[in-house]
Amino acid sequence: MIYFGLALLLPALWFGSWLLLAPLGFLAGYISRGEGAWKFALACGLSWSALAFIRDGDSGAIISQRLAGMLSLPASALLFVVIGVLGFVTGFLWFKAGAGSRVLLKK
Amino acid sequence: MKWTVPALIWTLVLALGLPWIPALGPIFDLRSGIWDHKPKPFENAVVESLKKPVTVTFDKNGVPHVFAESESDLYIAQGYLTAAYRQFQMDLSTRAADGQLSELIGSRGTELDQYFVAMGMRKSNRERLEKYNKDPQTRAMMDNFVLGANAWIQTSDYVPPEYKIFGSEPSLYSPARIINMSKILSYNLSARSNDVHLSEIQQQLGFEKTLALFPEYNKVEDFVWTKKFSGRAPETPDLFKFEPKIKDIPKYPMPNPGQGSNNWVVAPEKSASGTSLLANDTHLGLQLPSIWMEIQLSCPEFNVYGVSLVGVPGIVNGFNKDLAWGPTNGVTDVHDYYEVQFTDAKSKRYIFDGQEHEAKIEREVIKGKWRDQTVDVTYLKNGVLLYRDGIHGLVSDFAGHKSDNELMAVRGLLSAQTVEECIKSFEKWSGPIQNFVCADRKNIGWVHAGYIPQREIGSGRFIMDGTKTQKGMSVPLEESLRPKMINPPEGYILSANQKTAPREFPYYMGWDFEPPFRGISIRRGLEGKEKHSAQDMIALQNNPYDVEAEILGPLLLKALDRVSLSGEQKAWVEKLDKWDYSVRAKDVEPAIYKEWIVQLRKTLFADDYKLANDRVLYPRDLRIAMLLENILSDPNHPDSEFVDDRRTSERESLSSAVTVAFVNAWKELVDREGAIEKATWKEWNSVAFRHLARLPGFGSEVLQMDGSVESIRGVNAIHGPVYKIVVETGDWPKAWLSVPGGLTGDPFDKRFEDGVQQWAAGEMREAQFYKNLEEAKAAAVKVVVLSPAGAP
Repeated sequence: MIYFGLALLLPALWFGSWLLLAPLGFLAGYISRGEGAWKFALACGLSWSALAFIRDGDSGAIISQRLAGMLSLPASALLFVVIGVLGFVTGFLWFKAGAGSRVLLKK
Repeated sequence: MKWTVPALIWTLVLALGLPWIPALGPIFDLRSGIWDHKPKPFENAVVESLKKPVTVTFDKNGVPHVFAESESDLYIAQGYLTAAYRQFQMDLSTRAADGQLSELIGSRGTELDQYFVAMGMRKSNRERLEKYNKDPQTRAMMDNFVLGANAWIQTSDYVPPEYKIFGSEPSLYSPARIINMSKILSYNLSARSNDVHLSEIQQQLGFEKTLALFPEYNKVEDFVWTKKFSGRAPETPDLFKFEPKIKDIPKYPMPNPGQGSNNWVVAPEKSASGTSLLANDTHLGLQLPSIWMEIQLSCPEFNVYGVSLVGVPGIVNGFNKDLAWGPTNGVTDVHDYYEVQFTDAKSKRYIFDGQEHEAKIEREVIKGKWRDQTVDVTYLKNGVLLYRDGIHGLVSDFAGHKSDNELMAVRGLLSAQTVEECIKSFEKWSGPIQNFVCADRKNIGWVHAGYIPQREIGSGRFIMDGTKTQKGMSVPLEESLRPKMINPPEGYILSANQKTAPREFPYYMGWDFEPPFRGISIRRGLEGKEKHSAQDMIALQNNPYDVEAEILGPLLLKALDRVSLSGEQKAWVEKLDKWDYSVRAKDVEPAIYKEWIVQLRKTLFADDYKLANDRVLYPRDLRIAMLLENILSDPNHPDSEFVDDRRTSERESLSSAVTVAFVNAWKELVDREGAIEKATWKEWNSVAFRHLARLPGFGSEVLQMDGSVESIRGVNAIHGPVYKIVVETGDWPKAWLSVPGGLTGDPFDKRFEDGVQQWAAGEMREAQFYKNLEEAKAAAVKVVVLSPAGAP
C-alpha cells in the first residue's frame, strides 16, 4: 500500500493540489475495503514532506527557516515533520471515510 | 459517516485556517503555495503613465537612485519602485489608521481597528484627503505616486508571500492610503497621553501627592530651546479642580513610551570642516522591512538623498546639495480627555454649558476576513466618545486629527536651499509635532513644527470637565511664541525628545516628555570639544553612556544595605561600584542596574495606587532619583511615605525598600538566565527586529548591541535608531548612514535583513549621492529603465 500510495500521491501533489489527498484517500479507502489505512496515510505524509523538502531547496532553505519560526518550531527540519503529520492525518481520515462509505453502500 | 465528518472538518480547517491558525493547506501546497514563491528582480518595464523614460541605478550598497526628466515622472517611478519592493508593507501599514487591518490579517487586527474607528480616525482621514486634494500640486504628487504603485500591482505577477500566509489578496493603492500613512505616524508619535492614568491616581492619592510624584519639571532638566523667558506661576493642586466620576476605563492601545530620537546641528565655527554638520537618528519600531526606504530622487526641480516613508511620495529626512534636515519627536501634549454627562441611555444627548445637546453618531463598517462589524462613532463638542460608564462618558480629543498640508511641507524641503526656507516649509506642518533641525553650509536652525495648542497651565494634565466650554487645545500657540532658533550663540542646537521650552515659558506644553539624559549626553559631547568632525558625530551617535545610571546608580548603592547580601551579591555590588555607566551588550552590570530599577518601582509604588484593567504608570526614574536623594538627606522628608509598604504593619525604610528591590532583581535575573554571569545586557535588552505583521520567525535574531534607552545610542527590545545619518555640508555634501533592513521587503529574499548586523555594530557607510545620471551610471551595479507606453 505504501508503494501504491507513493506512486499515486507524488505526481498528484507535485502537479496538482494538496486537496487531492482527500479524494485520493477516499478512493483508496473505498477500493481497498479499509485495509492498509496506516500505510496509505504514511505515504501521504512522506510524499508531502519529501516534495516540500525538495521545493524548499530552491529557496536556499530560507522558506523553511521562516515558516518554522512562524510555527514556533525549534528547528527548520521539524517543519517537514509537521507537513508530514498534516499529510498523514488528512490521508488517514479520508481513507477511513472512503472505507466507511463502502460499508454504508453495501448495506 | 463516522470518519467523513472529522475528515471534512480537518480539511476545512487546513483549507481555511482558524482565527489563530493560518490556512496551512494552501500555504504548504507544492504548486500554488509558499514553495512556489520567488523574489522578483526589478527589471526594465513599461509604465504607461510615464511621459519620458526614467532611469533607476542601484549602487554597491543596493540603494536605488531615480533620475527623471520631470517631477511627475519621478513620483510615478518612486511609486512603482516602492510597490515593487514593499507592496505588502504599503498595504499593511496604511490600513491601521483607517481601521482596515482585519480585512487583511483577520482577528489579529480587530482590536486596533475598533479603537481607531471609534476615536474618529476615519472622519479625520477623509477631511485630510479633501484638504490635500484641494491643492493641485499636492494632488498631483499623490496621484502620480499612486499611478506608479498601481502600475506595479496591476502588471506584476509577483505576490508578496505574506498574502499567502494570511490568505488575503493584494489591493490597489490610493491617495487615501498616503493619508493613512501620515496619520498612523501622527498617532504613534503624538497620541500618547497619561491623563486617564493620572486621574485614577489622583482619585486614590489626591492632587497634591499626584503632582508630587509626576512633576512637570524635575531638578535635573535639559531644554531644547535655550531662549530666556521672564517667568510664570508653577503648577499647584488648585489648578486641577475637576475630579472625574468615571470608573473602570478600559486599557486602550497607546503608543509606547521611550520612543526617542536624537538630532543636532553644529555651526561652522564649531565644525572642523568649517561648514555646518547635521546628525540625526530617528528611533522608531524595530521592524523588518524598515519603515524607511533609502533612496536618491533626482529631477530638474531637485536632487535629494535620504529616506522616504514607505508609501509616501518624496523624501522625509535627508539632504540635498545645499541643505540637510532631520526630525525628532516633539512630545508636546496634544491628546486630551474629557468626562461628559449623558441624559439618555443611547449616548445621544449630553449636557454642555448647562444645556442639553445632541451628539452626532456616524456608523462605520469594519470589513473582516470572516465577517464585517459596525462601530457607532459618537461626536460631541469636545471630542469623540470612547467609553461610557453609567451617565458618564470618556471623550478623546486628539489634535492629530487636525491637518494642514504635511506633504507640501515635505515638498518644500526637497528644493529648499537655506535654513530659513527649511523652517518656512514647516508652516504647513500640523503633525506629528516634530523638532526639525536644518543646516545649510553656513547656518543652523531648529523649529518645533506642528499644531501646538496655547494651553493654560493646568489644562490637559488630567481628565477634564467636559460639561462646560474649556479652552483646551482649541487655540494655537501664537506664531511669535513658536519654539524655533537660528544660529544660537552656543554654536549648536540639539534635541532628544526632552522638554522643549524652559520652565519660564508662559504656556503649558506637557509634563511627560522623555527624560533629559540623552540631551545631557549630547550637550556634554558638543561642549567637550572645540571643533567637531563628521567622525566625531558618528562616535557621539554610538555613545552608550547612561546619564540616568550616573545620577541614580550612586544613590541606589548608597541606600543599599550590603550587610544582608550574600557573598556573590556583595561581589557584584562591588562591580557596580566600579561600573563606568556605559551600557555594553556583554556586561552584566547594566542588566542588574536596570532590573533593580524595575523592581524598585514596584517596591515603592505598587502599594500606593492601582490602575484599572492592568494599566501601569510609575513615576519617571528621575523622580525616583529625587525621592532617594530627598530621603537620604532627610529621612523624614514627605517622600518617605512612598517608601513605606502600606500592606504591612511595620514602617519600611528607604534602605529596606532598595535592598528588597535588589534581591528581587537578583532573583529575577538568575531565574531568567540560570546564573547571574549569564544575565548580560544583550539578554536583558533583547534587541531584535520583528516582522511588521509580527509574524514570528520573520524577524531577526537577538542582536549584540550596546546602549540603553537612556543613552544616546538609545535602544530597547522594540525601539531604536532605525535611521542614522551624519551630513557634512560643503560644496558637495558628504553623508554617512545606517538604515537597518534591506531594500527588499520580501522575507524570503536573502537581502531582507541587509544592514542589520552592521547597524547593531554601530557601523555607518558613506552615502553615494550623485550629481547626475551619468555619474550614477558610472558607479552602478545595475541600471533599470522604466519606459512610457510606445517607447522604442
